[in-house]
Amino acid sequence: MTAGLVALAQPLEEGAVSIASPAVGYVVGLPAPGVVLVGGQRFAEFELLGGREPLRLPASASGRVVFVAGDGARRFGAAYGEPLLRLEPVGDVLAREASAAAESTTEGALVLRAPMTGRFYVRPAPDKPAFVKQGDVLEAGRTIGLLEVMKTFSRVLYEGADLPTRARVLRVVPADGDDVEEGESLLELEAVD
Amino acid sequence: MWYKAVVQAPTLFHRLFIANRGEVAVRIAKAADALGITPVFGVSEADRDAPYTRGRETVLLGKARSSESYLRRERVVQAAAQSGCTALHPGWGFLAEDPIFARLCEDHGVTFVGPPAHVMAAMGKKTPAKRAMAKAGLGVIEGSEGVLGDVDEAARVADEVGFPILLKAESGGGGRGMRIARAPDEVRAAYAEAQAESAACFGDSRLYLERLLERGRHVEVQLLADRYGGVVHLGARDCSVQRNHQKLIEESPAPTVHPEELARTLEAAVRATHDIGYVGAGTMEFLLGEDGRLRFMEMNTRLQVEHGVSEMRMDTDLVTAQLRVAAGERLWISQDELRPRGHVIECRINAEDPSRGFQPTPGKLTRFAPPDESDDLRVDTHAEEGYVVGPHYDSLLAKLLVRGKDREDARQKMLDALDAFVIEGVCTTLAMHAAVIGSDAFARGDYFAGEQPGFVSGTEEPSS
Repeated sequence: MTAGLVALAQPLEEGAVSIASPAVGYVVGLPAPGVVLVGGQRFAEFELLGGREPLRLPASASGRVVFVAGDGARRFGAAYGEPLLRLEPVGDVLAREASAAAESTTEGALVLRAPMTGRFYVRPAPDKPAFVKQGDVLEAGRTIGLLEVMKTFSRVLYEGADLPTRARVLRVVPADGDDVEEGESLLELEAVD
Repeated sequence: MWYKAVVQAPTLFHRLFIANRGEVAVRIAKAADALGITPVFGVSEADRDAPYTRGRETVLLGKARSSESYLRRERVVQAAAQSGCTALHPGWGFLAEDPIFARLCEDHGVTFVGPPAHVMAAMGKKTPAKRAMAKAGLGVIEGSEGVLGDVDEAARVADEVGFPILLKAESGGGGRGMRIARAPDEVRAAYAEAQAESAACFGDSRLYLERLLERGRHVEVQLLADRYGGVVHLGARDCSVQRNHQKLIEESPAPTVHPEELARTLEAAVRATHDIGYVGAGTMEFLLGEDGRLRFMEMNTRLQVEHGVSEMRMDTDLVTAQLRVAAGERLWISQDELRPRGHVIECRINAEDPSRGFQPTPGKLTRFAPPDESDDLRVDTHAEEGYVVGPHYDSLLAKLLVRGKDREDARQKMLDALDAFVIEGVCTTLAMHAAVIGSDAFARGDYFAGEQPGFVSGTEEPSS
């Protein structure tokens, strides 16, 4: 279950997609041009009558940001359906999701392992904060990184039947852009009550 | 006094949010323009290209369906705030009588053009409203003292006031949650049905009971109050020509009320408006019984569709007055200065087929040519040639108002005006109005509330 508002997506020509405001309110902190976004990702905040909620992409929309509304303002008022971003397809960026398998180590900690071999990214774009960092408490469905396999990006989710519902990150093992093998550790975790 | 009060005219709003559509949105914008206030229209996807928004500031609220746009409280208030509006006019319908919405506006620094939320809430509940009116000396319809405890109490009160009786929802409106009992053995079933419908429609199963007055006339009083207890009335309107509880023709003065009864009621209505702490334009609705007495039914805490009738007769702009009192101005007119002139009649021109139970007829207006306006003829409309009447909202196309020296003169002028009004492309109520206005029954004033005198339609639904 992901909280927040889901933006509207309008397909354009050649696979591009226009991302629009789902309600009337202030849009805060849109990403800069060049950032790669994937489906379901939180990309800004939405302020309605003083309260803020995460603003997410619809699951079907992903790509590289090529247009940002608001003339560079960090916070601006948007009407319903007002375009916020334009995304263009990047290679074969897809919002495929891969659930990582977890198992206990001998030390009693949990280890989240790479679901397949590829290049692991800890952040959605070079100038963006990491998906997770040491000390974060994860809940099911949280994106922990991107895995690029043959130019196809997949989101790696904290999700699985044998995972505790909440877990704290002890260590993020690979650095941003590291190649990882299937089964290699991505995160070390401990269960949180 | 140790200080000297600084008296100055309050500053009017610079920007006004219009939380409505169609004809009333146009009316509000006209008032804003007259006062030098910039109107900002909240629009749905269906209205974003409506002719009346041309060259205007708009904020798109959401989808065409009103529950996704005009009825979204938070979205409307946010739109007003982020477009820099410090006041909001709700028009009529939609959120105009929603106290939660009024409160939300105030909480976010947007002045709601209307009464305070708590007054609106009190008038929205039937028994507190009735009680306040009785206290101020207004006649009320005989019935239960407040809400009924159970069906046995209903039977007992019914015996006291006499049959037929009407069981009504405490939180009701629009004719829902109402049942008639014509004899003691019908009370039990009527009570159960009214209770079930009230619970389903309004989430409140409480009922009250009133004697049913079947052969009455609908008469209402237009009121205007400032924030400091100043109240004036703008006379009475008769709105008896109706279909399915919706008004079709309104006129002022009310032709069948005895002057003494009217004077007494107007005075009490002004007193009641003052006593409940009302602010802005409001209307008290009465039923004129066969005994010649006016009995309070309910108070509408907003601008009415038929406000123009009183505006024309009293030569007063009610919408600019609403904005001025909302901004904190004291009433600038006294009751003595309000001088009625002539007799005014209004016909509501709807996109409906009167021969088929007033079924709405959406479509494109291939011709729309209202008669020329003058001092004695007014047309309020948002439509023009090429306008598409959509399926999403109500069917009101235009209001045609005329003033005559007296009722007969107004009637003749209305017949001419209806004849000159050309609308093609959709079915309208124009011909029905000509039949009613031209009828002997209307001329004599010989009809009751809910009827359409002089109009005969084969397939019309029987009135409830």
